[in-house]
Amino acid sequence: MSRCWLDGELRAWLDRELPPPDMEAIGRHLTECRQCSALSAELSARAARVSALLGALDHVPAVLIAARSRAPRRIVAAALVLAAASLLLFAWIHKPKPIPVTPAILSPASVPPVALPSKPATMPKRRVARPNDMHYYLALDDEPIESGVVLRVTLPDSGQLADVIFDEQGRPRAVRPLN
Amino acid sequence: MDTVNTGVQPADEFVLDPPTRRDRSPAWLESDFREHYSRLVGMLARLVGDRAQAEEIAADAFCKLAGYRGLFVQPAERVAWLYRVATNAGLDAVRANSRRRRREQQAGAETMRTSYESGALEEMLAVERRSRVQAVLATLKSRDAQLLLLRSSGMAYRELAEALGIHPSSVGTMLARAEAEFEKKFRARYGDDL
Repeated sequence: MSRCWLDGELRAWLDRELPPPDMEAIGRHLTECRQCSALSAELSARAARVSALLGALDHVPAVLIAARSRAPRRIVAAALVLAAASLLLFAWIHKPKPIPVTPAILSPASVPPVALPSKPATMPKRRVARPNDMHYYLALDDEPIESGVVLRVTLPDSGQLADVIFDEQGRPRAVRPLN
Repeated sequence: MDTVNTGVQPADEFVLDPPTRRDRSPAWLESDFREHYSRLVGMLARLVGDRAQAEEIAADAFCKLAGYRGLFVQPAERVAWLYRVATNAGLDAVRANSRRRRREQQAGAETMRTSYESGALEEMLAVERRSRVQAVLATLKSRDAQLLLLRSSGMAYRELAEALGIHPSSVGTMLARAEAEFEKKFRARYGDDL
């Protein structure tokens, strides 16, 4: 019987990393040496187990979607109501003012003298015509909205109707109160 | 008639000086980078589980290598040093990330419990197994962990010997010992659930 081989040589034999003469010699020896054959089987099984475990490192974890708890929902709802309220307040402040009724024409004597300004009067700022703000959505965050669905909801308390854009994850992204 | 300047030259102060010989990286560094960077990043990405972090660690190792330019005489010493430094940094990152990983695992478990997808359980088990392997690798000797990682990445014995700075005939012995040590520590930590 030929000489027994070391575990390192058997391990290399399992990986076919030995020169061809050694590969053949070990192959022949394993058929006649029960001890080396058992050692080789043990090394092979361990290598397979370790390789399988190290294969777990190749696993790419799936994107974890944060579990939705009740607390964040309440926060989102509160933010939604707050945004709607601020929109309503903004609309109320900027609503068109009624034309004042012209008072009775005063006589020139009753008109107090007006001091002229030292600087030349500047042209009043031209008021830029803006479209009705109600036609636009108010974004609830800074992220761009790529896709979503529009749901018409009734706000609690005020009963105000509003259109809300929800993204594919169910988050409200923009709101528009309806007149 | 107004003169129209169609081709404006930059002012002298904005003209960049051509790179001097001192600014250029040495040829051996570029050669090492081309040959080993992607392999290093692959090994580190499997170890730390984050490709961006792996690229950062690998780039840092190359920066250190550039700083120690006069330290190595033989290219083989340089390559072995590079892999050793990168693996040690990766193992440090795994140890530092253990707390974050536990947090992510908890979040993952919560997600899986609330998810209705069919593969949620398998996903959770795979994530747990991965973190166990990382934890055991972090307890091994650096060279053993390096050997197991590089071998499982598909490197041949000759390449392993170059990366570890050892003789090719020693790779089999070291690999068998590293596998035995890994399995022993895994069993001691997590039982016989291999």
